[in-house]
Amino acid sequence: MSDAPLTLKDMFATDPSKPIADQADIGALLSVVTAATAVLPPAVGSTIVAAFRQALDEVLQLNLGDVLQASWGKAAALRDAILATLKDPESVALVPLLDHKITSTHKPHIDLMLGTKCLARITLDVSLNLALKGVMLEVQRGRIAGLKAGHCLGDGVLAYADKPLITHKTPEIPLPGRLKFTLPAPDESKAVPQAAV
Amino acid sequence: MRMIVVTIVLLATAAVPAFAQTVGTPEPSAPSEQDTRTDHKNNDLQYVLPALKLLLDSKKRAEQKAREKQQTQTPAPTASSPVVTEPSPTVIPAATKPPTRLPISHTPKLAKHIVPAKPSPRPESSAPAVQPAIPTIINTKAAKAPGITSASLPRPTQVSSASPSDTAVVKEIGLARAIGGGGLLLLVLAAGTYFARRFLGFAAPLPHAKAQIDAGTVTAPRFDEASPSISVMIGRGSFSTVSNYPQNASAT
Repeated sequence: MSDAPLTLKDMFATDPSKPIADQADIGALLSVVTAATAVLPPAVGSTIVAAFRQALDEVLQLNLGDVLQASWGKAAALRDAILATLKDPESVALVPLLDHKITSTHKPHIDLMLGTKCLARITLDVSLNLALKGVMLEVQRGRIAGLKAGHCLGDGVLAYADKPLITHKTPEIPLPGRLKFTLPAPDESKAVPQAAV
Repeated sequence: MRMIVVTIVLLATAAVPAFAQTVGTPEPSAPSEQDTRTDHKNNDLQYVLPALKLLLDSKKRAEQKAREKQQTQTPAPTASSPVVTEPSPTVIPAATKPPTRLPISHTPKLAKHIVPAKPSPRPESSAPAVQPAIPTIINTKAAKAPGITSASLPRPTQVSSASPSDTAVVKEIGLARAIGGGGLLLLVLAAGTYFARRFLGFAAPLPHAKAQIDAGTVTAPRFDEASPSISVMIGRGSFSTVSNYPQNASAT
C-alpha cells in the first residue's frame, strides 16, 4: 500500500490506480454530456467524454484528512490541546479520541463550458460513512501535526440524480502516515470560550 | 582709270534691259514675271539713262582707243574673228582673275537692282562691256584655291518658304500631337498595370501582410473545429460532516 494521502477516491475505488469512471456505471452521465454537447461538431464529442471521465477522478480527489479535521475540530479535547500548544509553541500534545463514526456528504459538480457559456452542470452526490477506531492525534503549534494511531473502515456512495453510480465498502485502512491536514487552526477567540464551556 | 571702267561696266549691266529697249535691241522671247518686275523697276532708272548713255559713249570711246592702241602693238586680227577676245565667264578659273577686281559686285544698292542670272545671248556686236556674269559668280574664297570653280562648290541649304504664321500652326500641331501621344502612352501604362494587378496577381502583398495571412490559414481551422473553447470545470463545493463524537468528552 502506498503512503499517499488518502482521498475520497480511495474510499470508492476498488483499484485506486484505475480511473473511477472505469469502476462505475456512468452511462447516465455520458448521455447528459452528449445531449449537452450536441451543438458542437461531432469531432468534439470524444474529446469532451475523455475530459469528463477525467473530471470524475478530479472531483473525488478530496483530502480525507481535511474532512476528518473538520469533524474532529468540534471535540473539546482537541480544542484544549490546540490552545495549549498555541501558548507554548515548543510543546507537543497528544490527543486520543474515542471510537466514533463520521458521516460526510459532498455535492461536487462538473460544468461543461463553451467559452463563458455553461452548457450543462452535473452535480454529484457523495456520501461517506467512516468508523474510526484507536485514533491518537498529535497537536503542535495550534495545529494537528499528525496521527499516531488509528484505523478506519466504511462505505461510500456516488450517486447522480438519486441514482447510485457506485457503492463501495472500504476495508480497514491504517491511518498513521496516510492523512494530511491542511485546514487552518481554529480561531483562538472562539476556542477559548468553548474550552471554558 | 581701270576702276572707273569697271564701275561703268557694272552700271551698264544694271541698265542693260532698259538700254536695250531704248536702242532697239531684240527682246527675249516671252516676258516672265521677273521681267515684268524688272520693267517696273526700270521706270526708276529713266532718269539715269541719259547719264548712262554718256557714260557708255565715253566708255566706247575709251575702248576704241584701247583697241586701236592694241592693234598698233599686235597684228591685226582677221575680219571673221570676233571682237570679243575675253574668255567665257563659265570657263575662266577664279584664280586667273585677281580678287581686287571683284569687290564691286558686293555693292548693296547695285545688287538690289541687278536682275539675276538670266544668261543673255552672247552679243555678236562689239560690245564686250555688257558681259554681266563675271563679277557675280566668282567667289572670293574659292578664288584662293586654284582650280576650284563655282560649279564644284557646295550648294547652300534650302530654306523653307513657309510664313511665320504657318510655322506657328505647324508648331501647335506638333505640340498637340506630342501631348496626345504622351497621354495615350500613360493611359496604356495605367490600363496595363490595372489588368496585371487585377487578373494576373502581380500585386503581391507586403511580406508582413503575407505572414499574417499564412498564420491565419494555419491556425484558424484548427482553433474553430478541433480545439473548441470548451472546458470542464470542477467544483467540489461544500461538504458537511456529522460525528457522533461527544463534544465535551475529554481526551482519554
